This record gives sequence, C-alpha cells and structure tokens, in this order.
Amino acid sequence: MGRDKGPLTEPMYYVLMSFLRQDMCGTEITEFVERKTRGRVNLGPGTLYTLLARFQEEKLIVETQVDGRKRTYRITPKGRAVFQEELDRLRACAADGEEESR
Amino acid sequence: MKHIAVRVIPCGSFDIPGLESWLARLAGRGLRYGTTLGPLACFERAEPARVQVHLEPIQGPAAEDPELNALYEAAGWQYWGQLSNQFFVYASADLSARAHTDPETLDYALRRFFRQKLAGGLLLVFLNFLLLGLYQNGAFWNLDWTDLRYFPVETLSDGVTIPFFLCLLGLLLLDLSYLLGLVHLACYRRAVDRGGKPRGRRGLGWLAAAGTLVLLPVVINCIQLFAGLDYRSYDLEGSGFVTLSELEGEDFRLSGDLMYNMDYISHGGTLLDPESWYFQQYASFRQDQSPSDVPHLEIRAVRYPLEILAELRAEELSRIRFNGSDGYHDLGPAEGADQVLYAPRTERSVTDLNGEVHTYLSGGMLILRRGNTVLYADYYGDQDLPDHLDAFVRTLNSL
Repeated sequence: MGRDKGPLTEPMYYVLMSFLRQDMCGTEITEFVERKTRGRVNLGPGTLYTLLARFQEEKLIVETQVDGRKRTYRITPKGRAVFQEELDRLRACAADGEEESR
Repeated sequence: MKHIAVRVIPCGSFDIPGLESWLARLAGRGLRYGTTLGPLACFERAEPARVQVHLEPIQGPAAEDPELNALYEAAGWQYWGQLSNQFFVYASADLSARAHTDPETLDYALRRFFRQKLAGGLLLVFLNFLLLGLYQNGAFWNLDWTDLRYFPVETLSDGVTIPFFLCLLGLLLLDLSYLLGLVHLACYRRAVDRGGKPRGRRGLGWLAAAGTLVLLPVVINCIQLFAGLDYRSYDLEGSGFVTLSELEGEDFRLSGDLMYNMDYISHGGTLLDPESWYFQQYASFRQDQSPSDVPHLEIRAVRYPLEILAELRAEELSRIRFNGSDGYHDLGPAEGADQVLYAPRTERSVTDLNGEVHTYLSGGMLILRRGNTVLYADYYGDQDLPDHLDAFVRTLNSL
C-alpha cells in the first residue's frame, strides 16, 4: 500500500500532512506549511507544483475541485498510509535517538 | 523606438541555467521576455530591471496554468510567458528567492522533463524519416554523377535533389542540437544532484536556428506539394503558345488524342522546383504509324531563380544532339530574346536490329532564353523554325 521510493523529504512530508484534516488548494498548503513549521520549512512554488503533480501521479492525492485559479486536492487512503508509514519511521528514529541520548 | 525586439535564442532548448541567465541579462538591458517563434525570442522593451529568471518545466499540457501562476505570484514571482512550449517563465526582483526548495523534488521534475524530451526525440526521428523519405529520389545514392558533372543545372533543378540535401543538412543540425541539448540536460541534472551550481552553454541555439533556417524552404516546399500548389495548368487558348497548326497551316490535321494534342499548358513549380511549362502537339497518325512518324512539336520552358542558371542551362541544352540533329547555330539575340540557338535536323532513316526501318522527320531544335527563362522547342516536320521565330519569342514572352 505504502510508497516504495524511500523516505519522504521534509517538504513532501508537510505537504502530505496538510491534507489530513481537510481538502486543500496550493496557496492553502503553502500557508499551512509556513504556519505549522513557523517558517522553518520553505516551500518554493516550483517544489509545490512538482509535488502536487507527483502525488497525483502516485495516487496519493486526487483533484476534487477546480475553481478559477484554485485547484483543490484530497488525500487518498494510499496517501494516508504513506504519511502514516513516514510518521512511524520518524517516531522510530526519534525513539532511537532518545534512547541513545539518555 | 520599436516596442518589440527579436533575438535568436543562443542556448540549447533544454539548457535551463543558460536560458535563465540569458533572459535575466536581457531584462537588465530593458528587454522583458514575451514569447518565442521557433528559434527566435520576442521581447518587450521595458525599464531595465535586475531580476532572476526561473524556468519551470511544463509537466502537462502547454496551456497557461492559473494555479501555478497563483503559487508563484504568492511567492513574489511574476509570470512572463512560455518558452518554446517547454517552460513557464517566471521572474522575481528578489534575487534570493528560490522556486525549488527541495533538491529531490527538483531532481524528480528534471528527470520527468528529461524523459519527456527523450520521447520528443522519437518525434524528431519520425520527422527525419518522413522528410528524407519524401525526397529520397534526390538522395546521393540515386544521383547520376555523370549527369551532375555534365548537366548540373538540369540535375539540380529536378525538384528533389536540392530539397534532399537541404533536408539532410537541416535535420543534421536539428538532431545534433537536440542530442546535445539532452546531454546538457543530463549534465544539469547531475550538477543539481551534487549540489553544484551548473553553468549554461551558449551556441547550441544557433545550431537549432541554422537547422530551422535550412529546413524552412523544405517545409514550405512540402506544404506547396501537399496543398496541390505545385501544378497549375491553364488553357492553350489565349496562352500565347505557338501551336503545330500555326507552323503547318490552319488546315493541318492534328491528332484527336488529347495525350498527343494538348489543349492545355502543363505548368507548375514550387519554391525548390523551378517554375516550368510543357506543351506538345502531334499531327494525326494512322494505326500503322508511330507518333514519331508524323510532324510534332514539343515545348519545354523553365524559369530559373537566377539568370546565370538559365545561361548555363541554355549552354547545357546546346550540347545535346538528338535524332540526327546538327550542332547549334547561335542566331544571336532577337527582339524579346537574349539568346537564340538553333539546331536543324535532316530527315534520316535508321534500320533497327529487327530490320525495321524508322524514318526521322526533318525539323530542328530551338533554344530561346530571356533573362532567367529558357525555352526549348523540338520540332519534327518540314518547316524551318527560324522562319517562325516571332511565334516562339511570343511564347517565351507569354510565360
């Protein structure tokens, strides 16, 4: 079910995360990532454009609505599974680090 | 001052860093990118601005993407248009702004773009086969080198030899430019992957521009061929052409077969095939006769792009002796013709291997040239062509 192309990069992780609670359009995603990471993760427009195309191609998100300049996307069950897999991996990484640093 | 400026794109079509820095440099000189037309880029004159330009590879249809523009605008970039249907062009006055902030995602975009261009290469291969196949009769393996040596004007103005060589040269330049473009794109990808700062390479765009320029007449020629513009016959009546009846007398009986007694002038030509005319008329002949046994007249005329070619062609024709004709006599210029050459022919009989006797009628061959047009008339019959020179000059002037 999951993504078989290695771990997600930080921008990929946050973009996928942005869809968990609601459908999102491009500018909303940028705002979400900015807010969530307090400006730590900078999401360039080219990166976001490529990611949205890539996630659609990998069927992690689907386009739900087109309203003028605004396109809205929704995460798919496969997308949720990929996010969860990455979350579990990051948790395991964090746990390993915590354990070793104690 | 003109509001639009046109420049040849000096970089290869896929040379992203080269194109970005070129567009930014021109923006600094007050030329804001607008659109492309083949190997040319059009710019609007504007206030010189120090900007950075980013080319975003187009991933889907080449139509403007409002969502993408909104994303870029929100990040402070301005949409300038599309470049060669391959990139969306964005510019930002903030020189530290970054359109791509994730190297892996940029690598994905470039990999995808590379695959698209690789597939596009297949289309180019198809174009190679299509154009070279269309003109393969003019290929060097089909060329008669002896003809080329002794009759270069006739050989090269056959409508296929020059188009084939232009095709070959144009496609070679375009293929090379495309191939090197792919190599540069692969190098750029590798450099991005390693975190390096790739540099553009200028010069490749000139290769593509030269290829396009060489192929342009071939493409126009193809359009003329496929649109049926290469053949434009017209009626004999009112054409001004000399007829067999005019030479032999009004009561002279012509063949009833339209193939031997044309009531039209065959006429055609394209950009790479000189404009030409053809007309023939035969006297009526019995079933036991061959068409060559009766008086007939054949007229060919060609208008060459240059007068020197017409002069050379007249010289080529004057070296041909045909069916017992004598050598050509230069009759000098005439009213309405710069050059008149005449080769009389005496009647003669030839016995072939089967013992059959063939009689060739008398008559003669006439070459007339006016400027860049050459008219060649081959007549079999009792008339003396120089007596009818006015009619042939009239024919030449009617072209």
